[in-house]
Amino acid sequence: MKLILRLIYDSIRQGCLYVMSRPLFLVSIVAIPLVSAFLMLNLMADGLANRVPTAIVDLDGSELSRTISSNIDAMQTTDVVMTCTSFSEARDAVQQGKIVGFFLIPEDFSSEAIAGRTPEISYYTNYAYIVPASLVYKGFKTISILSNGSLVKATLTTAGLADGSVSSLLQPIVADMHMLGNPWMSYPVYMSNSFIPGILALMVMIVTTFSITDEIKRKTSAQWLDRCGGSMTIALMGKLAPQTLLFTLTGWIIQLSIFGWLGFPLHCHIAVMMAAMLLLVLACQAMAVTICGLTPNMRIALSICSLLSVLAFSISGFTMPIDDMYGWVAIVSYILPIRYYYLIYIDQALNGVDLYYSRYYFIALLIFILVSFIPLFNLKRMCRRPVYIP
Amino acid sequence: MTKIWRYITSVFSVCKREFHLAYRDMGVMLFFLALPIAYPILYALIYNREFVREVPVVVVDDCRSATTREYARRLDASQYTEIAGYAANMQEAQRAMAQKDCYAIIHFPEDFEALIGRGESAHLPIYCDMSLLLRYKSVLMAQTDVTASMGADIQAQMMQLASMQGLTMNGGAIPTVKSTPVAMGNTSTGVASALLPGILVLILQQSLVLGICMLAAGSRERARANGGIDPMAIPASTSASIAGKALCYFVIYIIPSIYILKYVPMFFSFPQNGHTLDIMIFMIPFLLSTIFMGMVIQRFIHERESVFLLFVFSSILFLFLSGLSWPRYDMSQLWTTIGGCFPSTWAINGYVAMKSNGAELWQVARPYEMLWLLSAIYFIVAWGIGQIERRIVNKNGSMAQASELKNG
Repeated sequence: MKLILRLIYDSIRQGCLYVMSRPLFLVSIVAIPLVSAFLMLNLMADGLANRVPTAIVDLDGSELSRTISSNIDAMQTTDVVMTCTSFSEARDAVQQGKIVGFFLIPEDFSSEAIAGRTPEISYYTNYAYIVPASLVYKGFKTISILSNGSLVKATLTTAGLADGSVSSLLQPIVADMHMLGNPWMSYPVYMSNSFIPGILALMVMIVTTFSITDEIKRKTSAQWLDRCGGSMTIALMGKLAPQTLLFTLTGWIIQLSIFGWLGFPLHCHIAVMMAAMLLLVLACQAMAVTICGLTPNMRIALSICSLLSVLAFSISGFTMPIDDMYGWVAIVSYILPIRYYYLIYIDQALNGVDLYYSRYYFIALLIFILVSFIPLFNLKRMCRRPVYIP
Repeated sequence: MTKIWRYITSVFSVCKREFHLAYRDMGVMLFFLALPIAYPILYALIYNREFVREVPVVVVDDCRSATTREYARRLDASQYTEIAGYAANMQEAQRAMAQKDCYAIIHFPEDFEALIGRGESAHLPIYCDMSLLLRYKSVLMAQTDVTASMGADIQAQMMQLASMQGLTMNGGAIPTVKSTPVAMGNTSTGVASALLPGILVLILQQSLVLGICMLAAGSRERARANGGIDPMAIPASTSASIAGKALCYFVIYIIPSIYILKYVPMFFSFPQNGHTLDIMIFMIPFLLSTIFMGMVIQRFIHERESVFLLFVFSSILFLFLSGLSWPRYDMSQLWTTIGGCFPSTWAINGYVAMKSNGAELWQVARPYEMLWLLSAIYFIVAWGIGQIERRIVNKNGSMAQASELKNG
C-alpha cells in the first residue's frame, strides 16, 4: 500500500514537471482558453446587434412615405445609413455589404392608399447574415404593420367607430412572449455558455492526447510506465492530474467571470456549475484516453480528437437542435462530453429546474470516465513497444 | 540573365521538392486533401435541414372554447410547431418543459373568448425556452402567423357586424397596405445556406495553414536530428524558397478550392450566384495571403504535432472575427482591426457577397484589395523571419564547424 502511494506521488511529481517542461502546455491549458473567452465576451459586449445599417428607397416622396421613413429611422433595431433613389442602387449597397436590408415605398403609394387601392410596400433583407437579417426583418415588419394600422385606424375613426374598439379590432389577439431565462434575448448569454466551454473541452482533448502519445513519439513510454511500477492507471493519473487541476481552475475562472462578473443568468448554486466543469474536464480527458487506447498513433489520435472537438460546436446542438439533424448525424452528439455540460447549463443555470431533471447528464459524464479504463490494456501494450509513425 | 534563370530554376526545384515532401507525408495529405474534401460534407449534413421544424408546444387551456381550440389547431398545423399535448395547469406544463417534452407553453386565460366577443383585445401569454435561438425563432414565427390569421378572421366577423349596424366605409372596403417581405442572398432563409459559405472558406484557410505548419515543423525536426541542417531542403535564397513553396501549395489548392467553392454549394443547393471566374480571381489573393500567413505562423510551431495544440482552436475565433455570426459593424475597433489581419475575414465577406448576393468583382473591391495587401505584408514578414532564421543557422553552423575543427 505504501509502495503504491509512493508510486502515485512520484508519478504526479513527474506529471507536474512534464507540464512545466515546455511553455507550450501552459499556453494551451491556460492562455488559449482565457484569451478565447475574453475575445468572445468582449466581441459581443453590446448584447444585441442593434442599429443594423439599412436604407430606404422612397419612390413616392409624399407626406405619408416620409412619415414611414422617419418611423424606420426612429426604430432601435435599424439605422438608416443611406437614402437610395432606386431599387438598383439599394441592391448594389446590399451586394457591397454596406447595408443589410432596405424598405421600398413604391410610386403613388400615398394616393393609392387613400383611394383604397391597396398599394404594396416591400422590404428586402439580406439573409446571408442571419443575425442582423432577423433584426431588420423584425423592425421592417413592425413598421409595415404599424403603417397599415394607422391607415385603417384613420379610416375607421372617420367612419365613426370609437377609438378603443378600433385598436382591438386591429389586434384582437395580443400575444405576450415570455422569453424564459434570457428575456433580453442577449446573444452573448446564448453563445458564451456553449462556445467558451467548447473551446476549453477542445483544448483538454488535444492536450491530453498530445501528452500521452508524446511519450510514444519520443520512445520514452516504456520508462514512463516502469517509473510507475508498470501500472498504466498510475502513469496516466500522474500525468493527467496536474493538467486536470490547471484546466479546472481555468474553467472556474471563466465561469466566475461569466456568472459573477458579467452577471449572466445563474438560477442554480454556482457549485453545481463548478462541479459540472470539473466533470467536463475529467470526461474530456477520459475521452482522449479512450481514443489514445484505440489508436496510439499520435497523429491519428490527435486528428480524431480535433475532428470531434471542432465538429462538437455544430453537432452538440448549440445552434441547431439535434432533433432537427439527420438521426445518424445527431447520434454522434451522444459521445461528446460537451453536450452533457451544455444540457446541465441549460437546465440548471439558464432555466433553474430541479437537479433531478439533470441526473442523467451527470451520470453520462461519469460514464466517460469509466469507459476510459477499458482500452488501457492496448495503450499499455503500445507503451511497451513504442512505434512512431510521422 | 543567367542570374534570373538560376533564380527561376531554384524556385522550381524548391517547388518540386516541396511537392515530393508533401505527397510522401500522410499527415500533410490529410490536411491538404482529406480535410477539404470531407469536412464540408460533414458540416453540410449537420445543418442540411436548414430550419427548426415542429417544436413541441404544450397548451394550458383555461378557456376551453372554440376559438382557443382553433388557435391550437392552427399552431399544430404550422410547419414550425406541433402541439405535444394539453396540460391541466401550469405546474404540469412546467414539468413537461423541465423534462424537455416541450419547449414552449401557451396559456389561454379563462376570459380569452369573452374578451374577443366583447370587442376587446385578448392577451395570450406564451412562455418559450431560450436555450436555442433557432427554436425560439420557430415558435415566434408560428405564433405570429397564427395570431395574424386568427386576428384577420375575427376582424372580418367584426366588420360584418359593424356594417350590419349601418356603418359603411367609402366604397365598402377599408383601405389597407399590403406588405411583402423579400429575402435576398440566402433566399431559403435557412441556417445552412447562411453559415456554410463562410465555413467553406474557413476550411480552406485552416487546412492550408495546418498543412504548411506541419511540413515546416517536419523540416525543423529533421534539422534538429541532423545538427541544424535539414537534409531534404534545397539550398536556395530565402525569397526563392518562399516562392517555390508557395507555388507548390497554390497548385495543390487549386482543385480543393474549386471543389469547395463551386461544387459543394451545388451538391447541397446553397446560394449559387456570382460568376465563377470572378470568384476564382478573388480567391487568388486569398490563397496567397493564407499561404504566406502559414509561413509566418510556422515559425512558432516546433514539432509536427504541436500544430494541433496551437492552431485547431483558432477556427472558432476566426469564424467569430469574420462577422458571420456577430456582425462586424457591431464590434469594437479593436476586434475589427484584429479581424482584418486575417485573410479569412475578407475572404468570407467577399465570397458571401459574390456567392449569396451575386456581387461582381468590382463590388467586392475592398476585400479584394485587402487580401492583396495582406499577401504583401505576410510575404515580407515571412521573408524577414526566413532571413533571421538563416542567420541563426549559419552562426550555429559555423560554430559547430569551428568546434569540430578544434576537436578534430
